[in-house]
Amino acid sequence: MNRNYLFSNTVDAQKCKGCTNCVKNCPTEAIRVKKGTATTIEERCINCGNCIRTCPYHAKIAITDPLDLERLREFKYTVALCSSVLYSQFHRLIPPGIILNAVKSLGFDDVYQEAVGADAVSVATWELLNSKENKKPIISTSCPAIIKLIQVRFPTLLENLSPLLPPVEIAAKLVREKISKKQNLPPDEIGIFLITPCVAKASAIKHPVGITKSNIDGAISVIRLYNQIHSLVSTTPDDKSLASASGPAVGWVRSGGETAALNPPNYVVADGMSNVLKLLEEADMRHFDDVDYIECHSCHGGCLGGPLTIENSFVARILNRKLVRTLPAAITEKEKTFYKKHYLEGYFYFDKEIKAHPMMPLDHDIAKAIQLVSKVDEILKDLPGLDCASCGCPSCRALAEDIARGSAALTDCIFVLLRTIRDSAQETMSLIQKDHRISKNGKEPNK
Amino acid sequence: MDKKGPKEQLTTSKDINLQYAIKGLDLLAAGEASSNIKHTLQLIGFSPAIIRKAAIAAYEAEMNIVIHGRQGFLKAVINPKRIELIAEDTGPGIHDIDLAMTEGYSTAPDYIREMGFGAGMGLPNIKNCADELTIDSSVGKGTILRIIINNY
Repeated sequence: MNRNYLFSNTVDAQKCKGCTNCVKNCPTEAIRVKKGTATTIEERCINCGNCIRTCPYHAKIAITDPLDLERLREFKYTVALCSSVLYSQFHRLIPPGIILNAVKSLGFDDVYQEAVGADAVSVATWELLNSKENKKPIISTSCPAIIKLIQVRFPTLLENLSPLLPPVEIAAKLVREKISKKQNLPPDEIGIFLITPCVAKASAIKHPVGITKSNIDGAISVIRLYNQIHSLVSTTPDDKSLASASGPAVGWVRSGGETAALNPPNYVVADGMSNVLKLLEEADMRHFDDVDYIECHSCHGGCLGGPLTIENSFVARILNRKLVRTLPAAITEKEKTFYKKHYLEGYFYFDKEIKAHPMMPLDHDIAKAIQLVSKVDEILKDLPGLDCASCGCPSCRALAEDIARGSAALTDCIFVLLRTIRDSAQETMSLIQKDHRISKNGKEPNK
Repeated sequence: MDKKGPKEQLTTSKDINLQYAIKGLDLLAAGEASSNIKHTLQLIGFSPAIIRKAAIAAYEAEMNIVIHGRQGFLKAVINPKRIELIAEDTGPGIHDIDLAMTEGYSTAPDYIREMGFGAGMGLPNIKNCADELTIDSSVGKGTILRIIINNY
């Protein structure tokens, strides 16, 4: 299998019917249907997973690791790093200790909670919020699709991104150090596999943003492990030592859970791509300069609504809330001091600049691009304005822009094509009618 | 690619003229004109910082017409060197321009302020974003705002 992909979804050309459902639901207009198959413009894709979610033919596939023992055997010691989403997938409240123990028994040497990272990042973010070193508002980095969205659509907001790594990376970093010490193993012989509902996180492992190398080695989707874990939960004992994370940290996967754990004085929360776009559009206009913290989730309901989940996100939300109430309300003072010390030592920071990738302008030369904009307006006048996407572009405007760029033709529009055929048919007819030999023989049509 | 010198190219490219009619108190459509202008600037490929300045200035100018002006239009003239925004309305006009430029000074009615608009930051925000700003206003007749943002 080719692993040199830039983004974490692919199309099964056999299954794809070219229906344009994904085209219309893509927040960055990154998909076009060409020759009957959906194709992605890679530099625009933010890995939000909307296409996977909306494809009625399941032709859009997330690329994750299969749970083959081969991949696990590459490492001397393997750890399953479990998203808190996993705890709310089984339609009833099951203690995390049982679920984590069940995952461990699938063939891992150890399990660790992503939520431990959330506990750590909560402490660090709280310190950051109080340090006033950052520009208001601070935008959370926990959702990798949001980071990419900001790179592509809102480059001016990059300076507002929290400088701190997301919980998933911190958790992996902490567990690698812990096990390396405990088992006396070199860090690179420990394989950390993320059990996740998230396409963007799976992609960020291979193509990390803001860090040189991800601390995670592979990703396995929640869907893929669901049946195996489900068959084990009734017989697996509850190992409480595996589940040390606090309630608020487990709540991070729920939209609003992050700010509930952090409790900043002034904050806004948005989930679902269309809502996030509205919110960031306003933030870009500096309407939230008095807000301390912005929590954004690409998926509706937060990570609980991730594309690779089993449970309906509304049920999962209730289960998550109930679970959070059964867990400790905070971590110990000792742990807090430990994380604070790490924060002050720079442990939590991204080590690479997060660069802007603005949406493609029409041309790299501004003067030329200006000419093309006028051309786009001219082309738009010829298009019906129905945004039907039959041409393979998300809207008439997008088609006009593609035509101006030279990557589409005016007759890709079915209405323009029909008009062209009608006009040429009429022209042909009038030419035939003008022919005196036909009319002389009394064979003139239409009369 | 043709090999025209930069000078020649500048003379052949025509300015882009965008014009949008703005209706007073039409809060449903408010923000559409400035959002279109922003999208056009992104297509042209101005730097994100320039786009942000122009988008904020256009938005505030548009909202001023919606809140205070009875009828008007927002115009954008775009060329590689600069972005010019013109907001013209037949609203009440500004009594005291210096006072109107003060942060927090607002003459918006209460119901507009309850909706989160009219915080008295419109003109000061425009001034912060603009390289040049001229206000031509006569009481009872209307206001013409001319904003220039240079591309450097």
